[in-house]
Amino acid sequence: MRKSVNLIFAVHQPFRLRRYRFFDIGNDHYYYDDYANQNITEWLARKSYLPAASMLLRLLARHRGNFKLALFVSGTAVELFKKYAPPVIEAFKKLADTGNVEFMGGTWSNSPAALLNEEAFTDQVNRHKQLMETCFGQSPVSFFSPEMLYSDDIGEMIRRHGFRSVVVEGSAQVLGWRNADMLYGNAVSPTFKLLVTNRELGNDLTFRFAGDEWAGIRTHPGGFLMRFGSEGSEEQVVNVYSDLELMGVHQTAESGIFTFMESLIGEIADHNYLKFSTPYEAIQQYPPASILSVPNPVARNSGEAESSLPGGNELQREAMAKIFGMSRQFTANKESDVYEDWCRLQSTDHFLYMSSAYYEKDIPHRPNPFNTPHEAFINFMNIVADMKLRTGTGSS
Amino acid sequence: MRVLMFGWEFPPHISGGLGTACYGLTKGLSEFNDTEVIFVVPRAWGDELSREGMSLIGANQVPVAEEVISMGGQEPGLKYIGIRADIVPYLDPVQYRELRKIRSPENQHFVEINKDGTIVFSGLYGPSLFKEIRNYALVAIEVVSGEAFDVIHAHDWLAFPAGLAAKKASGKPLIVHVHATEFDRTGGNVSPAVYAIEREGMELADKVITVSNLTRNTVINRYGIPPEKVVTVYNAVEPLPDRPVKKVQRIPGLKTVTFMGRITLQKGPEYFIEAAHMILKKIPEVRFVMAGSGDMLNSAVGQAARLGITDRFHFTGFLENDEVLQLLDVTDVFVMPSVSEPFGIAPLEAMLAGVPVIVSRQSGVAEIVRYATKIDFWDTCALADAIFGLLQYDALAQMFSRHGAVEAGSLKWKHAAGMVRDLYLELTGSVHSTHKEEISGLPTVKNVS
Repeated sequence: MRKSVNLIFAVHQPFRLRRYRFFDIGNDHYYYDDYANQNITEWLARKSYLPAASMLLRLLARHRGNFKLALFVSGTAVELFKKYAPPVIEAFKKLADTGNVEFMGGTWSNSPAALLNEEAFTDQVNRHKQLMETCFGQSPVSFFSPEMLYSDDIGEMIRRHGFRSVVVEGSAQVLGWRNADMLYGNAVSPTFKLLVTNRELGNDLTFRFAGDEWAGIRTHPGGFLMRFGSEGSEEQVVNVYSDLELMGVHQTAESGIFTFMESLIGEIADHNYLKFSTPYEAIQQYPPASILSVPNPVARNSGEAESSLPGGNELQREAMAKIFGMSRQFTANKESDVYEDWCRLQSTDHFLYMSSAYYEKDIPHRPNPFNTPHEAFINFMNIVADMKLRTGTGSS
Repeated sequence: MRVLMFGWEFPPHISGGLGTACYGLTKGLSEFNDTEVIFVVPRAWGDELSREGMSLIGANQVPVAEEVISMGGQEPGLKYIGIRADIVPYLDPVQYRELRKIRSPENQHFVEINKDGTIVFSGLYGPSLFKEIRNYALVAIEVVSGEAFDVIHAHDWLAFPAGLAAKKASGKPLIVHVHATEFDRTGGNVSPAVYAIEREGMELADKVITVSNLTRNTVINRYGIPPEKVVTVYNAVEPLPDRPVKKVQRIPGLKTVTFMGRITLQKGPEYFIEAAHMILKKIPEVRFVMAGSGDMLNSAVGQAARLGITDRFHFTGFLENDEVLQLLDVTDVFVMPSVSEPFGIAPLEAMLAGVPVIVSRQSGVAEIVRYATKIDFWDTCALADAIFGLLQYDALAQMFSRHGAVEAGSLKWKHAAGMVRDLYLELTGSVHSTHKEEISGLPTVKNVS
């Protein structure tokens, strides 16, 4: 049997927050940095999303059913495109229309709600699902968790919301001695499948493509292709994950990433051992190799300091507790402006800006709009204080 | 290694920054067995040493008195020499009036100094001050003839001429230590005479130590000193005294924001008052305290009165050591909005006490602390917002309190002293070849080392 290649791209942008001072609390209920949102969205669309989508569309047409991929697009990203870069929506719609692009489910604003509050999680998941249906005509069945947040319980919760599989980062913490290129089952509900990413492949593309050691591979993808697997092995599926910004931003057009991806995809499409599939197809083709137990929540780069989301420092924990503590207010009231703000404020990005790692160094692929984690925290909490006043639960 | 050090003040007669730094540095140096410090100051008043429990071991016929101070470490730690030069440093107008009352001397000159131990610029430096500084330098030569040493170290401009004189007389290498420059003290209204003394000291010194990169840049850019000659050695902080301090009762539900320092242009008191006004409009249950005195005290009171916040904004005047600790004990946020602060040890003391601090980016201390909020002194909105955040969001205050105390505790004088000692070693190995010309023709005093 041929080994499946799942190419998974994610597109997420948060609503960037403006500098919200304490004297704005109770006086001004607009929280967003329109200038930054417009500029960043337009720039990303021009540099990455539009050229990448048009290339993918061309390749989908060229290779007919032999090229497939999965795409996760967050709700906040869609809203930003609607506002500032409508052609991106059109381009993604064309991808959806080919029938070979699976749109994945997730939380609307890429919210870490799964960690704290199932009510908020349900709300976010449903909102995203509806958006995918109305916008791209697909009802998602595979799940992409923000920062690949996962644990046995989170997996079970995702399953209860109607999904069949979830993407999990293939870190040593998750896998132990196991092979990433197999299909695994959730420890609570073994029929719920885990798509474990091949972290080396994804990270090499995202972070090391332009490096010197890649000089040969950039022009001859064959060497890279060998790492997807060789004939005769038992391996079932290789999940390669990257942000869509891989093409044009993480790696600039000048680096040759577009031509590289084009020839890599071409070689896989014509390969006699590898074949493209979507997550939904992959989980139907193979039985799970075993159960993978992840009792404590993990996230992308959990082992490294930069993403400390599941544990979090005191600022992150406090900010999350406060925002998710408001979920009661919105059980029955989803029409208000403040509900919209509440959803947007849940984007993981806002909590990651509070990571202590920013005290040590700059994180190049995730620039922090705030100078320090505590500025991010104060700004966020000021906004939360204003939202509480609006819902009638805060004190002035 | 024997070090001849010229300073301006020494505990307990300190007015803040400079004396504290000299004490910390010499104490740090005394932890190295092979380093001995002879500390020379223009003697101010005779009671100072007995207060610290230092013993007087002898006095010369020349106007120089020697004493040995025990640093609690290895003996012999530090020799202290007070010169009876007739300069009396004082902190503020209040202290000045009191001193005058008590002492009413005929031949003494009162010189107003600020927390850094340096003279407050009044635009009225009389010729007598510069005469005294020259006298201090002359006495330095007397000291040189009686002492054996390997290197000379002079703190701030009042001591530079003495350091230079000692260098000329002995041919030993000179380090000048810049704790503040005339630009910091005056906000740009620089006295040419003071500037000239500072510049001469820096130019003729073999090395210049600055207390931060902020000050290092000033030395390089404003005084034209070659960068390779200027080294930053950050100050550190002494552990807080653990003597029992009478606790002040906290009022439940009432938080306190504190400004502590001289109320002068350099310290930016008006920005603190402005921020207090913004906060009080939003949360009335806060008290602001401005501790210290200075030439802007009256205008500060006036500003607070105009803004109508004096019922919740308190001026304490100058605080003694224990009172400082008492105030820190009830402080929730410590603010240092200095316009120009070469270093700033006070925020480190607050951090040690577990108080979250806000410092201006225009301070040297901002370069080395991570767990402090940093704002631009002129950005009152950012200052108010930072104060508000620390008052309202407990998680934030707790994080700063815990990590800040650890961070400040890790800044040890021994480490700073080690860097200074490395410079001594570097200079004593190379001085004879590089500076022979400069000192030729001057009398050289023999040294025993």
